[in-house]
Amino acid sequence: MPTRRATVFDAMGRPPRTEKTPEGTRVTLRMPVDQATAQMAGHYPDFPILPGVLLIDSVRQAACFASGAELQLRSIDRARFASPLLPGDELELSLLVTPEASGRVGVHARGARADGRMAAELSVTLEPVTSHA
Amino acid sequence: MLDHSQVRGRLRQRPPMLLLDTVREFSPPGALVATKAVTGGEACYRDLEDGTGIDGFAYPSALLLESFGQAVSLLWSLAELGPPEEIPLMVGIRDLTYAAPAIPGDVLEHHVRLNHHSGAVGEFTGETRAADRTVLTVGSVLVVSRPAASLLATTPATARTKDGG
Amino acid sequence: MNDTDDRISDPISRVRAIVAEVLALSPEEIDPTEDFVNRFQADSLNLIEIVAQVEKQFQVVLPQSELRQAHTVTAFYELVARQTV
Repeated sequence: MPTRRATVFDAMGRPPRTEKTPEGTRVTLRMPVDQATAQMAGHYPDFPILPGVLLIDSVRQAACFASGAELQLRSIDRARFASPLLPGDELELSLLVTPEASGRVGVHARGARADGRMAAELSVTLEPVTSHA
Repeated sequence: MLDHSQVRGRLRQRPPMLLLDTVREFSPPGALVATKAVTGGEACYRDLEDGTGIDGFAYPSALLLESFGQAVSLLWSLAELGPPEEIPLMVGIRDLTYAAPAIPGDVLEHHVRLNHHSGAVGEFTGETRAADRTVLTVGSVLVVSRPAASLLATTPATARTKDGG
Repeated sequence: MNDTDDRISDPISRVRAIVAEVLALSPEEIDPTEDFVNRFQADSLNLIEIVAQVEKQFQVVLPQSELRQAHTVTAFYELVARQTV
């Protein structure tokens, strides 16, 4: 399907659940790790694991869905990766998406594996994609 | 300093996730400049609609970070920070900011510096430039090395048995 | 308000500040003699982060064998003190 921006992989095989709360929009995305099979073929050939950068991009994609806007990553304030996600597993992402006055969007996210172990925690800032050179 | 065949020999990633071309400089004990050319033929640009303006060709943030991370792995390897049979993994990132976009035709220059290391843990900082633009600044990346065997599944991933609220 | 708060100079306070920062807490929430791993569910990655920061800020190398038991601020401080004789 043609796009207007470069894409790496599609985290959104299943649309996320969203819920507006006073603190911001809570988003839950369940993503089969196998969405990234093409990338994992090279990461790594003998022991495929979900690249951390794709986990970060899944958070971005989920935030785009919740905001109804095309957002790009502006900064990663803090990210930690505690345990790897392997083929066949499922990543459960829980996000809190908070628009800021500047037009930027703050996102706090936690990712867990199907076995409940914490895979990642992220605090990132997104912004609307630039539309000029 | 390292051509692509030598870079490929030191990294475990393979296409489509091999995102580093050369090492231009290595200043022992802990500084390195590595390059990656961005080209319109990359997989990430394959599905772009005809008529998309150059803004649509901004190199994806995920791949830019992965490429920087591979420059970190090269420094780890050249500086011999961990057992060569183990794999350096990025476990932490702090204060990373994306600046100007990178586009096809750019050659990314990753400048990586080792801040601190001890045991099998290293902390790195740096930035990525393309021509006269800063594309990425990296406050801190924490890397640990792990044996490859620890990354293999030992028990099958189990699906959830109850629906979380 | 203590106006010297921003000039943390005693080692225990500095270790406490590192542990707090890694665990995303304020220093006051951390009792220096309490097992922070247990109390705050710190994981092995938190410990790696703490060790890296402590080693960097105090310019020491902490011996792996003794790190296993170091689960309080004071234990970390004592490890640092032993390396800087």
